[in-house]
Amino acid sequence: MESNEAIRDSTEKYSTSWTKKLANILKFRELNVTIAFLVLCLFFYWKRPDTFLKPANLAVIMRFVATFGLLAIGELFVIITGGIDLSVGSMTALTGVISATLMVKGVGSIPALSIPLSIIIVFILASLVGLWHGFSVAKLNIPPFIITLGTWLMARGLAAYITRGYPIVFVSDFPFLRLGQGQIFQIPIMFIILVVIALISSFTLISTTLGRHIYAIGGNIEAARVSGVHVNRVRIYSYITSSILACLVGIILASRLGQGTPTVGTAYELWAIAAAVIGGTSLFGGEGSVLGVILGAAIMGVMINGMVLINLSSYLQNVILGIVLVIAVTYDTLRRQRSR
Amino acid sequence: MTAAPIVKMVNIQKSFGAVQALRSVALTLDHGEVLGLVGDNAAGKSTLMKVLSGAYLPDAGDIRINSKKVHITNPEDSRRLGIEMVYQDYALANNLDVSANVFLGREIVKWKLGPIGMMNKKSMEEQARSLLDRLRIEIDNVRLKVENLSGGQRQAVAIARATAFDAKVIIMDEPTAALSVAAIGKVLDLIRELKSLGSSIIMISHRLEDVYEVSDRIIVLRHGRKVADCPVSGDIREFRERILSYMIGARDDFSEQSTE
Repeated sequence: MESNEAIRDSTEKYSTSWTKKLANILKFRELNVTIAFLVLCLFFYWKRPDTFLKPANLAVIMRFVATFGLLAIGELFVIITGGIDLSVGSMTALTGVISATLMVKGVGSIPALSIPLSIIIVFILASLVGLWHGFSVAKLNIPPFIITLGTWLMARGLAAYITRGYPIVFVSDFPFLRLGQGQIFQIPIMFIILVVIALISSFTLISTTLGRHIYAIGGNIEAARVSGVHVNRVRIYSYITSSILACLVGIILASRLGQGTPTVGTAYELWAIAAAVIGGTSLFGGEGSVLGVILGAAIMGVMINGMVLINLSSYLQNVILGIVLVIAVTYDTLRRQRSR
Repeated sequence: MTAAPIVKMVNIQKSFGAVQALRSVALTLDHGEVLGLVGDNAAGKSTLMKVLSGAYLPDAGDIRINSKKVHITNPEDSRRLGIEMVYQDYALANNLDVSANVFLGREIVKWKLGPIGMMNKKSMEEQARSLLDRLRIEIDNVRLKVENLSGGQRQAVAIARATAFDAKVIIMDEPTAALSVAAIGKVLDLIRELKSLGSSIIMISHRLEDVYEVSDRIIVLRHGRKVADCPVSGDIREFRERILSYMIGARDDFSEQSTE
């Protein structure tokens, strides 16, 4: 062990500045995913130059990226602290169903509520769910996998119970539908929402004390604790962020589909986690970025879209996505071990 | 030393269930002094220091800082009194850079909105840089992630971190335990540097040669009792044998006072 130390010290001295610079560029976490993304785009453009870059097709990709990018950003906040949130797919269904119920039918004797009020109410409900997750994980020491798995079941069940299994359909000219269906300059509104949320959360993670403490908890929770970081509070904020973003996606999807459906968002948590991991987020905590996560979602979006465009069997599509996920994680893990 | 000691612990007692970890231990630390705290495993060194740093509440005893009686009930109390602890496992977040670790939990902010503060990274990096320079710690770039540093550099960062906020008393738990020979030398230099800058230091160690190198005085604990409290003197071999005989119970300077 001592000799290892000496060897490392001596190699450090011999590395010249340009090799260091090169190493720094290669260490730029998002570089690999950026290249992968661009290569995929070029490939599908080469295969289908007539269709791939058409605004309508780009809008399809952007809506996919918006949906899974938003969920994956929430997942990112939790995963960096070393946790996981399995509830987000079910939460999109529950929040979508509740917001549709509030806007269309009202509850019991209370008539239908206004759009903003309904949205505010579901956001509050979602925050309480996130608070519950964070509290259970931070204060009661319940494994995040288990506590969010409970919500995964409960939220899905509640969504079905509230609607008795039937979707709650909006009338076709309901103004709320613009949120998920509208476009501005051929860019889906939901993608613009993603960009705004991405900027805010990226700023939070990179430039604020909260973000730094989130990373510190993932890196060494005991170090964070003895350094005076409010470890429990920060973890609770992370889970609330995840639930709120799941709620946002639930509202957007209800608007996009024109209905609150209890079956929406099935397995979305796994897609979101996959996007985060492809984007360089470490499931061990402490590593990951908003840019990476969105690139991860974009890679998945472009692949799914492109594989449809080149008429690949939909069975094979999942096989290929699975392979990409495994390659991404393996590569990342090996690289990390080498840098140690 | 004419001034009152900066730390004076009297009659400190602490039990964990049936185990008496500390039996009426007294400790003083003078201004600008390096005190070595040694003893076999489970002698009570770490327990005593955890009492001072607020991690444990003592069952009985007095703590005075600059002859003022204080009540330390948690790590924040002790930090507020200017006592900083450097943990054995460095207590660093390896995924963050040097500057982030130095300021972890005490980030410099431009503005604050509820729980969220906008960090002033530039100012933190500059201050971290000047701190490392002042302590003559060799790290090229404060933006290096801690996981890319050597063990000695990590320990140096952990110590720098403790000194960043006007710590008057620095407690180091086995600062040289996990290090290579070259790195140990640098950490000992760092301790001398801190002493020359006016810090008072308590160093827990089982490496007697390191204690001999930097300490002014040494306290030996055995089975939760103080058995020796004497200046570091003599040549290293004689010192080593004398201290070892205290550690294994062959000698005891305080036996009449503390046996009931």
